[in-house]
Amino acid sequence: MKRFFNFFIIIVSLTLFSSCFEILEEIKLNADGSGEMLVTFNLSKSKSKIASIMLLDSVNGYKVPSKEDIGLALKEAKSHLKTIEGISNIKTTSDFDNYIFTISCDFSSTANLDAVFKDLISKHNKKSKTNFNTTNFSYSANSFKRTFSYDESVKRSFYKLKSEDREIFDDANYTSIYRFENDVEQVSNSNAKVSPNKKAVFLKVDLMSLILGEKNITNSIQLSK
Amino acid sequence: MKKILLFTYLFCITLTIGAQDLISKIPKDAKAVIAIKGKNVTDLVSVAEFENSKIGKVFLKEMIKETDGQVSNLNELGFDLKRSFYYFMTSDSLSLKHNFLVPLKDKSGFEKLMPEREKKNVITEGDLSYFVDSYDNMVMMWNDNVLLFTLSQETYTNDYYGYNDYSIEEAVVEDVVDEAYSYPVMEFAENHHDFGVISQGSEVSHSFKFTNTGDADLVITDARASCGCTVPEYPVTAMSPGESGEIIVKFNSKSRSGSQYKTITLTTNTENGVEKLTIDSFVSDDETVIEETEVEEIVMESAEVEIEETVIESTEYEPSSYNDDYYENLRKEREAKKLISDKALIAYAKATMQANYANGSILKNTKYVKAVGNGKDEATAWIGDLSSIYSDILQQASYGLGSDYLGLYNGFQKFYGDMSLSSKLNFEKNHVSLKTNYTMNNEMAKYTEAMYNGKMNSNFFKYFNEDKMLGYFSVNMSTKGILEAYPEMMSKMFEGYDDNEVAEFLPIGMDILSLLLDEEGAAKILRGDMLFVLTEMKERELTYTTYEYDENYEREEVTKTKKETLPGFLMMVTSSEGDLFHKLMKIAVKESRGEVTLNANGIYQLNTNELPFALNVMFKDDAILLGTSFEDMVAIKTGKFDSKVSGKHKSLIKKNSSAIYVNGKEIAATFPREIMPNDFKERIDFIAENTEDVIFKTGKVKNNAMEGEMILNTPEKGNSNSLAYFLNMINALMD
Repeated sequence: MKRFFNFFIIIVSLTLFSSCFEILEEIKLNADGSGEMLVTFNLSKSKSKIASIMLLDSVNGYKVPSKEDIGLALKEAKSHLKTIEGISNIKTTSDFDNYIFTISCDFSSTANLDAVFKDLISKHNKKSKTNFNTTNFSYSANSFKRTFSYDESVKRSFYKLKSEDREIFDDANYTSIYRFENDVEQVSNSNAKVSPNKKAVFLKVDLMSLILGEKNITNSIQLSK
Repeated sequence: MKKILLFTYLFCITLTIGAQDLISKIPKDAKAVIAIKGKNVTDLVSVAEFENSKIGKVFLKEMIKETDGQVSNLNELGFDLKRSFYYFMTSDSLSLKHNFLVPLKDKSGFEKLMPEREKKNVITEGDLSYFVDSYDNMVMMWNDNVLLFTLSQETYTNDYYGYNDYSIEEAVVEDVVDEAYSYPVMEFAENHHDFGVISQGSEVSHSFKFTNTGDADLVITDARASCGCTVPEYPVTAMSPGESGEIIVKFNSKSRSGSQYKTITLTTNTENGVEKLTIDSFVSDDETVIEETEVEEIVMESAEVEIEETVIESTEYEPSSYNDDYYENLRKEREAKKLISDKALIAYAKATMQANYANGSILKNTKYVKAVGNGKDEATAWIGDLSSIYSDILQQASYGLGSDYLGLYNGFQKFYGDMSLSSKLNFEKNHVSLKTNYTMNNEMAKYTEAMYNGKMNSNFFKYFNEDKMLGYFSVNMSTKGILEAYPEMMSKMFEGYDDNEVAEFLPIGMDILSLLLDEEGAAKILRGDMLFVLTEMKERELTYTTYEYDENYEREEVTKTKKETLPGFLMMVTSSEGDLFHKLMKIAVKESRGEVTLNANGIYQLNTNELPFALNVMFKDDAILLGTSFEDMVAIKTGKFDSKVSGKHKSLIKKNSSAIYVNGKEIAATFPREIMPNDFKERIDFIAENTEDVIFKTGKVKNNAMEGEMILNTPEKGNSNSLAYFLNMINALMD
């Protein structure tokens, strides 16, 4: 009986081609350089596919994480953030009905945020094959910089993935929203939009163009004094 | 004139021998045979057609690359594709032999394929050529008519040497090969020597004289005594026939007393592989006579001490350590063993090439001939007696303790004895069929028949529409039959088990089990028949959460809908316990905190985020129905369902113990393709146009046999036969 059921589930997940997800990076930056950050992973649009995949043990040879695994990963991320100086008020949420997961924190300076990413990168990039920059956020002289240096190796490792694994990124988006107390005077990224009240900068790119290096999220935002 | 006639006659004989089917080279006692009938295959798709297909071109390209351009088409390969190819397996208590017989037009094509380094190892005797790969226990032997490839797989081995300490030089192989049919003989003037009474602590020695009276060179690779107290010396160079030599055995009686009987084992390349010598002595000890048991103890203790001493001495004073000698000896022993097994393998291959069998070929095996016949099948496979293969496996599993270890084999034999398997592959005009026939003995057939003697509920045919389905899976078992047969089968199986407790307990346990089990009652809950129908793809609406942003990019969570195409299913099982079903479902409704609800139509609905779809369950006319479509359920409940099942499907489901039907055409046609890349869409369209359905079925037990068949239907349009269809499909879909 379970065999049939698994068979049926596989057919279901095969017919559900699109796997879409959104990554949202929101930062509210105060004039003194401190602020709040909220990262959201929204997998709601492909929830039937995820629900069916999660009923299976493994897909394409990869182990499927259970709810417990995901909860544990979030908890680990939380305790990791706690160890970094200047990071406080860490919160995580998980919604397994819609498959939306968030993690948020307060930071006292952009350097603290960098420390978070630095740790994460050194953790996951032990062989230092990828040439990621370690300064992702900087704020000085009323200028906020989001740096992202594209590395060709990302494209290479992407093409190494099996084509059915690549499809995961077909309909995925990355959105960043930065809010400031002062007015935004100028943005360097041509894809970025500034709100009419000049307090927010919005940038949305599809993950595929980011991976292939066609678009970049590097942005230098000049604020009024 | 007479001479010419004679010559013509001889020529004709050679021709008929040459064109003879290779099946005559398979011995009557072969355990398994697989045949690919070249002629039947090439009649369907000619060699030229294959070479011109895309896959054929890829194949040729690889071949040209592999042979450095020496072979550029299939013809040059020298294989005779009009004749049959065979695989067969024979077994004895020590090994399984896997053999491949490839018909050749002439040997030049095949020889061209061989890498240069391998050519060096080829030995030619008359029209026969061969080479041995000792490491893989493999021999390849060929003439102008046939290529034989034999692989020997040891089933029982206590070979404990590692990979690294094994190496065999080419020269040695050639020697062996030259001597394939002749052995050296080691003739000793005496093979036992009595040293008489010797005093403790003294060292005595004796020379055993021998002559090589055989036809081949004698090689002694190792000499070892049954204790550390004797050190045999032996000639290390090969000895020609007629040559004499000696084995010197020294016996050190230090720390020994009483009667000493020791064996010296020589590892040689003689027919037996080992030669044995024995020595006898009585070590006198001035002290009082000790009891025998104590003597043994002392001997063992002193032997240990001596070994320790030897180790210390040799490592301190001698350039080659004890360990080096040890491994050197192991290596030599192994080489000698190899020489022997290589020789046996060559002899086996030669016998096969000459089809030199006292009992005749497999064609004399009535079981084989009856099972496989001589039909138009493109390929056949046959296993004569599964139990004899099981017994080989058991032998391996019981670490050489014998196949009847703990009496398990008897139990096996009872059920699996006389069990044979045959398969036939046929490429017909509009379908491919793979038929498998499983023949069992009376005992097994009795139980299997009871288990699979289910009855399909005819009401099921009212609940599905064959125009709106992607496939189905049916099982026609009998719960009653299983519950009755299983305990009986288990106790019979372990009846002869040597472990008394198990042997006694198991039948009792099984009797109790069958007493406790109310077969009739269990069969009321689930009768054993089941039908799982994969229903058509349906579009449905699905809500999801995303974000919208106001002009200041403040985000707002919104719920949107999208369309998804999903297949559904309906599962049906027969049960006459409607009351029990309703009672259980009532508990589910109460305990599930709203996930299970009872609808006004008497349909229970399960809605949970754990599942990507909702499930509906209901009880109707002695059947439990579980499915994804609520509308269909309501229609079935109210008797308004528009069902349609043709006789073809009805008999497929009813008459078989299990059947799987896959409607490939329908699946491809309704596959959601809106979001797919264009070239993918085209391929799916192509598959939809060129695919028919697939059927797997397993029949009920009849005359002690169960027959299974896989039928792959292929479209007639555009393909001359089903084999050509595959070639055409690959052509169309290959990049």
